[in-house]
Amino acid sequence: MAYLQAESLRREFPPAVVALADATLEIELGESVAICGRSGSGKSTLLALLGLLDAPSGGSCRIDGVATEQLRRRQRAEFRRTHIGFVFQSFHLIPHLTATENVIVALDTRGTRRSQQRRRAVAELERVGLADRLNSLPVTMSGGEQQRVAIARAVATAPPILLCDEPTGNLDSTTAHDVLEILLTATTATAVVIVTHEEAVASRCDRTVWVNDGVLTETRAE
Amino acid sequence: MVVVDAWRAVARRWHRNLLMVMAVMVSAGTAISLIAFIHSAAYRTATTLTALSAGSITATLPAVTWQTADEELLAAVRQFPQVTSAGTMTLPGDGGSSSVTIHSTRSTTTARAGVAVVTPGGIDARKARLTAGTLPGAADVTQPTSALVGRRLARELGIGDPRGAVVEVNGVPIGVAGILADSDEGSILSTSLLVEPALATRLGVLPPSRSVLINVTPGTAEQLANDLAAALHPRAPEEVGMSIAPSPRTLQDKLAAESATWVTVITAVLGAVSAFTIVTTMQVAIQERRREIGIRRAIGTRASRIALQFCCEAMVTGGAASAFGAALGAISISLWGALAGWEIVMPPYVLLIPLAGLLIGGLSGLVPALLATKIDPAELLRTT
Ligand SMILES: Nc1ncnc2c1ncn2[C@@H]1O[C@H](COP(=O)(O)OP(=O)(O)OP(=O)(O)O)[C@@H](O)[C@H]1O
Ligand SMILES: [Mg+2]
Repeated sequence: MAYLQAESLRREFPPAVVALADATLEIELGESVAICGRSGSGKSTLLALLGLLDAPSGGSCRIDGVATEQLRRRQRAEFRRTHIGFVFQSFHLIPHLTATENVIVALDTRGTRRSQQRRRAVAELERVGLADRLNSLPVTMSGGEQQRVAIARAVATAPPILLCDEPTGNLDSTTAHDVLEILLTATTATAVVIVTHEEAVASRCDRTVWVNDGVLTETRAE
Repeated sequence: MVVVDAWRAVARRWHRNLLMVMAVMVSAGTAISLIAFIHSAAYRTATTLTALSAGSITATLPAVTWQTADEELLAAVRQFPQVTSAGTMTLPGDGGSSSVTIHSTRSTTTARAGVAVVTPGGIDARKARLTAGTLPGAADVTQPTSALVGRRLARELGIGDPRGAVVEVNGVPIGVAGILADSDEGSILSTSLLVEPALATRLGVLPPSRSVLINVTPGTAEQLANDLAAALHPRAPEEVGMSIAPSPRTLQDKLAAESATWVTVITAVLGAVSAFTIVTTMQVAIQERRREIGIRRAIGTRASRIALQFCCEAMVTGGAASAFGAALGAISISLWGALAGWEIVMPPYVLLIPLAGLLIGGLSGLVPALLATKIDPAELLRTT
């Protein structure tokens, strides 16, 4: 059985929106999957369901043997804490915290010992090439740098699943290429899901799935 | 770690909380200044009053003692080296002495006035002084015919020069020996007719009790009281009422307690204003920080931990701002005191002001903290 197994996932927003109609998907650890599709097709909705930020209206999503659709709000938070990392299009760093402190927030939530936190955060930031920006606040950093901090934060806790929503959407193509490189090399034993518009990004992943009006297909629909 | 997170947010976002910090600081500063001012004013009044009446005792004796002359009555009292002066000084109102109608034959003016039953020793003990004329002569003692008139009463009766002046008291003609001004701290004698006990008896205005004023070395009144009572009326010392001028401490507490209601009301209003600003500012802050809250939620932080952090932030801000505000307030009022020559007294409970700030912060932080837990982390996928 696959590490992540989604079966006919569905998400409706009452009264009339069906953001995701039918998503069936299997992902193994160590695998990277690109999710492509037109704007409004339901990609972010799928990602929110896979990452337990949201609960499905129907279908099931088994992760690490747990039927996650049955979890309650508090249990979902707990499950996110132990299983899932996020990287967002607009980086979403905590603005009043430095690069190191942003990474420490994730480590602390994950229960890393206080004495280890700073050392671990610094190591992660060095790994994404930010050794000289450790104490910088997000506003003083470029988009590429901020996204690398976000990646360091997401991978610092070594989550088995890493979910990225257009991680390079706000970056120029050269920076985007570097950031993607860092993202994919930092996550060897991880199931990586990347929502993207860009062919260049999708082609770097092991496989690509398509969302078309809320329905998941293995081939491009036209 | 919650506290560290809260502290970082407070310290690094201080400019976003300026309004609330100012409001809390001003409230705390005002509260401490107000409390200090009221206590200092009470202290000042108390010390002034006490200095004026320091070391004086008023003994109230039963009516039988009117039969005894001052000299005899006070002989035992004067044995005490602490006693500096003493004498009968029964003021109108003391022991319910009545008022009389006084008619000046010279100016044909009539007035009503209280009668003070006094002796030369009493006048001396009260530090009242003659402004004209003399004390009633020694000859008067056996067959008393003259009295003293208080300065203001004399003016009312049109008596400028006491020599030869005669007044009719309840129809009985009495000579005016002199005009008397009360001591600096008193005024009642200035509006009274002053007669010796024998004359009071003749006029039928002898009060049912006799007050004797005894001045002692300051600070010895309390310990002397019982012995003096025994010396004044050996047969029944328990019938002697001894009234000692209050000590500054009790008087100060009494005066401060009277303004306590106002202090409480004003402090409560200041506290409410602080709480209100904390709630509104934090609510705005939570809107601004939806992203941060969403991130923490996405990472898997429990909602309760996030609520706790915001409560902590409100507590840290409330506590720190009120401590700082109170310190500034204390410095200001002390400076003002130094300039105005007031001794500033601060009751120890002002130390509770930062604690109150902490508590008000925590309580007002509850509402915004609950709002924070309602934020949906899926928003992060939709917002830029
Ligand atoms: N909270 C919501 N309430 C109502 N409708 C929603 C909500 N979230 C998403 N939708 C709708 O669901 C559909 C899918 O949205 P989603 O954000 O998943 O699209 P997307 O594929 O990520 O698009 P994009 O590429 O523009 O980010 C859209 O039509 C959107 O308007
Ligand atoms: Mg999207």
